[in-house]
Amino acid sequence: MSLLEVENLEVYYETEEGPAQAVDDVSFTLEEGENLGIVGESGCGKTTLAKAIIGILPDAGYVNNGTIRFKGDDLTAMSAEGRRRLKWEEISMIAQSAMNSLDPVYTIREQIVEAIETHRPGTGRVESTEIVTDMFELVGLDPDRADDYPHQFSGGMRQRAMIAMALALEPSLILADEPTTALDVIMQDQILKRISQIQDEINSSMLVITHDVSVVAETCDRVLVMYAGKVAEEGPVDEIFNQPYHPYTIGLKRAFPNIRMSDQDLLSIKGYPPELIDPPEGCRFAERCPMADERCRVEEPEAHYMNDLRTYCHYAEDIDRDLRPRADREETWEQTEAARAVQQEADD
Amino acid sequence: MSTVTDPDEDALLEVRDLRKYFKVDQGWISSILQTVSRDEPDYVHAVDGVSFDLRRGETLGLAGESGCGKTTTGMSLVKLHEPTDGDIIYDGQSLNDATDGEIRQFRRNAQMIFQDPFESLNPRMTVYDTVAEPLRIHNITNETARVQRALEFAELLPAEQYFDQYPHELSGGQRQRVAIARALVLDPDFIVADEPVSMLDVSLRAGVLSLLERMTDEFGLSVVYISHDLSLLRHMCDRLAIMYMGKIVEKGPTDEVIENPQHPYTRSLINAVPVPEPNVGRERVELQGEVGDVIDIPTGCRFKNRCPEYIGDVCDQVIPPLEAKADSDGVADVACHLYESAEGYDPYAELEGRPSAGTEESAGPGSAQADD
Repeated sequence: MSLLEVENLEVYYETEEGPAQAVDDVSFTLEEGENLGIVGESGCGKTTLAKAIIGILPDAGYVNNGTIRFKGDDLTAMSAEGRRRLKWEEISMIAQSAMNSLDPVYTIREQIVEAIETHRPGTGRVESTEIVTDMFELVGLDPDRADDYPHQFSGGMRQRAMIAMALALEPSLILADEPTTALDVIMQDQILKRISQIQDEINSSMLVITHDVSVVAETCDRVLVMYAGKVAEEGPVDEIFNQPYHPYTIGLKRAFPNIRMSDQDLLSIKGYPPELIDPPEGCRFAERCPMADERCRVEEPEAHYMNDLRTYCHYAEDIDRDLRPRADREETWEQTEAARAVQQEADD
Repeated sequence: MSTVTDPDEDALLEVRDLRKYFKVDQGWISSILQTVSRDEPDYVHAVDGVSFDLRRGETLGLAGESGCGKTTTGMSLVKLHEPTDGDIIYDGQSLNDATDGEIRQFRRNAQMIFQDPFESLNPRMTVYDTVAEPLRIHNITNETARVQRALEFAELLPAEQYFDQYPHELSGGQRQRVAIARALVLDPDFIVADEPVSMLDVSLRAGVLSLLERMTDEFGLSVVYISHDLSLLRHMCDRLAIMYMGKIVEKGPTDEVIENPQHPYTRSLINAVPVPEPNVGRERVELQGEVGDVIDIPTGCRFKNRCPEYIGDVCDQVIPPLEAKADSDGVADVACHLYESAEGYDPYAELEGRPSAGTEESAGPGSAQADD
């Protein structure tokens, strides 16, 4: 049994123009001790997916279909009380903005102790204080400062306090939503290192949600690439980075500067993701894809299995011969419907 | 201003010992107490003695962590801040001595692109008015044609379609393009771009970056890029200056600074940048502590408390100047006592309680490695 099994999950948001299909038919599994990265551009549904798993969807959001099985139990069928018990104890979240996740009127210690006592009634003050001290040391904070209020901490310290809190109950699953995006690079590096040390110690799994592919490359075992609410491609981190088969992953990889390379050309994928309220038929990436043809615009792609990858592209088998050799050229990415639309407007 | 200071023929802008301090706001009670007791008020030393040249057609990157003074430096360059001390020499003309007319001319030639296109554009102004405003301020005619050309250059096509739109109708990428068009409409000599893509979604960044590159090439502009993202600066810049607590610690050609960093801080900073390739190991040096206090500035080197290469009293007491080094294996200028000055400066001569004579021989600990 896998730690987390998400099957055919659909998460919709109620809007005035009808439901927005933020997460649409997403399936994946996460094994114990494994780290899965979820990448994609803004609005691709990656944060919604995490919120659905931990059970903090906003009022307008709801699970339309599918199951989220955590240690065998379906979270979507669980009572609110049952889910609340899982939160922090079994599944915890490191949010992007630590300032908004910490209560400004309580000291850091009070907040962590409260979480511990709520989930483990009977834990004595002495024991909770010990846990706080241990966690502070683990994330590299001075335990003497646990009695400070959040505003007395710098951004990096708050983020570390947040991590201490998320890890205090040794959860089996950590959801990290852009855990280091707000931090400077040196602090980011230290925090990622700490998280992985702690993970080794308590053997927890982690979902890392980020737009920064470098962070995923360094911390994850597997990667799920999302596009417009759907899985585009999923597989081991090596294959996703070195030999992806989905045109979107291939394009995305070329949009990032790499500090190790001089004179690289950055390529952009022209156009924007489609509307999620009334998404187009067929492949959602078709409009921005240099390989798309009529079939892509009408027929939704099934999963193709290439090496260890699961790729949702009709032409996955042709990538090696077709797109891969020309993916580094800018002209290639000009041959899409979206790019032609821009050109068309310019000519008019 | 004297013309003796090194006449770099190519320099469009010479920044000389620029300083910008901000008074710390402590509330009125303590400020009254301070007046009564005649204490010196506290200052944040945001930029504290920065010198560099910006050559014609060059792209220079200013990098460093939050609070290192890179944005304050950038804003001082386009006169959005009045420097506390130091001078900027533009095209041979000292801005300290410049007349109002010369300053106006300078402002026309110096433009800035800000980080957040959601905040930098006036929400009540149409795209046309936003881009035309600088032309009106500087009484430049032929407005419509210039606005149209700027928008077209920024790939907002067809330009007329954008004229009457308001910022809220545009995406982040389009807004940043409007900001770029506004900066270009006056045909400036140089642009300061402060984190120009950090607020944009990844898929849009490459597009705006290639527009900025085209801007540099086609207009022959000099550009100062300010960013904490070294991967991005490596991609965009000819030269790089690394800042720490208001000072430049290392400055040189981009490839040199990134591949062969000399200053211990530059090394830690570059080693901390994650690489988008799995299984590429990198050497991780964990720095102790956090960036120090920029109000009560420490003596000597500002990096000394976190420095893995700390070598004692000289770091504690003598401020390392940014200079060419005789015994480093790079060509960058470095502000660190680990290396021996190429110009014969001896920091040990300034050490308290130590005779200056005879120290040349046993100078820096790195002197043993000197091979020329």
